[in-house]
Formats: sequence, C-alpha cells, structure tokens
Amino acid sequence: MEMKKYVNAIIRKLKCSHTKKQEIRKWLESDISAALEGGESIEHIMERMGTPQNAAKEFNDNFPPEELKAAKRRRNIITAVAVVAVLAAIIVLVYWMLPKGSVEIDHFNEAQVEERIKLLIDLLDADDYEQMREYAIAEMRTQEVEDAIRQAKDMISTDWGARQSFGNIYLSELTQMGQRAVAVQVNVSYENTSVTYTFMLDEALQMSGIYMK
Amino acid sequence: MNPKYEQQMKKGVLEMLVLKLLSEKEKYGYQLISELKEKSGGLFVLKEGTLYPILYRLEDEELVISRWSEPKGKEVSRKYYAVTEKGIAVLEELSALWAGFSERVSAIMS
Repeated sequence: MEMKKYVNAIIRKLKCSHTKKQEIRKWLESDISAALEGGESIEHIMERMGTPQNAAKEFNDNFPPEELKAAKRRRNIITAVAVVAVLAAIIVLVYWMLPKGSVEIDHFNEAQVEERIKLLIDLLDADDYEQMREYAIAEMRTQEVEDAIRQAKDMISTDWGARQSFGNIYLSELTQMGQRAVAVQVNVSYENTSVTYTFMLDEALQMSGIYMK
Repeated sequence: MNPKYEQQMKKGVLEMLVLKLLSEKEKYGYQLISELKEKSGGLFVLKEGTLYPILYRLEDEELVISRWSEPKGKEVSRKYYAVTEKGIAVLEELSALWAGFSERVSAIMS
C-alpha cells in the first residue's frame, strides 16, 4: 500500500504521456518489488529514490525535449477542457439554484444515490479511474476526462491526506433536454484539505458530470 | 568541486555502460542499477529516473529490445532488456571511441 501511494505520487508529477506514465508505474512497481525481494526495506528504497517530487524531477529532467513539449501541449488542452467543464458546471449549478417550483427527487432513491456518490469518491480517492469508468456515462470514459480529473485534483492540492469525514449530502433532481438527472453536492474533509464535490448522475446512476472545488 | 562536472562526465558514458551490461545477459532495471553500483565501486549510483529514459532512448533507437517476464509464483512481472545486433555494433563503436578518447585525455592530463 505504501509502495502504491509512493509510486502514485511520482506518477502524478511526471511530464509525459499517459501511456508512458502507465509503463513507468508498472516498471517502478516491478523494480521496487525486486528491491524488496532483494532485502531492501521500503523505507530504504524511498530514501534512495528520493521524495516523489525529486524522483519525478529526475525523470522529467531526462525525458527528451519533444516528450516535454508534447506534455505541455497536453496540459494546455487539459486546462482548456477543465475550464469548459467548470463553466458547464457553473451553468448547471446556477440552473440548479434557480427556483423551479418542483425540485423534489421523485425519480431517484436517495439512499442509492448517496451510496453511489460515496463509491465514486472512494474510487477518486484511490485514483482508480479504470473502475470509475464502469460508473460513468460513455462520453466520460475517456482519457481526457481522466486526465482532467487528475489535473483538477492536483490543482486543489498535491497532498490531500487521508479522508476524514463526509458532510451532508444535498440532492436535487432536474431535467435537461428531456433527460432526468440528479445533482448531488457533498463536502468531504481530508487531512490537509476540504473538497466540495458536485456530481451529476443520470437515471441509471451513471456519472455524467463532476465538479470539484 | 561543483557536482555538475562529475555528473556531466558520467552522463556521457552511461548509455555505453548500460549497453555493455546488457550485452552480457538480459537484465531488468533494478539489476542494472545494482550491477552498475557494484561494478563501479559505488561511483555510478543511478536513480530510476535516470535509467528509464536511457532505456527508452536505446529502445527507440533499436539498440535494445524489451520483454515483460511471466510472473512466477509470488514474483511480479519484470521488464527485461537485451541488446540487439545493432546495439552490439554500436557498443563496439563506442568502446573504440572510449579507448581513444580516454587515452588522449590521459595523455593531456598526465
């Protein structure tokens, strides 16, 4: 577990493609396992490799310039996608907050929605995007969305710490272009930060939007 | 002494040394790091972040090939690297270059 956390922290700071990140992750996990089998302790390995920041810097300093340029381009695209996503979320929130006469949650089971939200937050905390894709609409099962979420998380903080508690969960049903959805807002406390999540779920409780602040 | 001088000198020979170690037998990353440290008497203590980009470059230039091993029992899968024929030819060229280079530098320095 400690190894996975350490490797994740390095991977997040790498300036290279997602494919290369995944390869490096596999490499690091494999080599750290080999070092453990060789009798090195995890503490010694982490000391030898340096802090995640320094270990990632070592990689970034040695990547070819074209890799770094491509990473910069990707970051710009991700930032643009994140900006669009934030704008869309603001529009949804404004719409959500407008008085509409009937803001009941007739078509959703509150307990099921809460359970799904907690599961999604568990997966986000574990950086388990593969599993999260199973609970998202098809349009959100893309690398760009995954990268945008990672980027958004890093923008909040690179070290959230362990989750402490969930705040109240607020739900509101809405209809967009004939499609029923539920907007859910919850504040979650972590050791080093506090995050307000806003999720959109469709009728099948598949995630169709996410906003973090 | 400014550590960057030592770093720069080491950087120039790393690819040759990695090719040399791989020419003996296929190896995985941690093995290379351990062997380099041992055989150089602690002079070359490579970090993963230095070694992996070198291996990427060598693979891109088709000087080495890699394969993931089948995990045995509790052992995790490992990425093994081996030198290609092209890699062997480049290693021979680099060895000759190094021999001439070190001889001439030593002649000037002595």
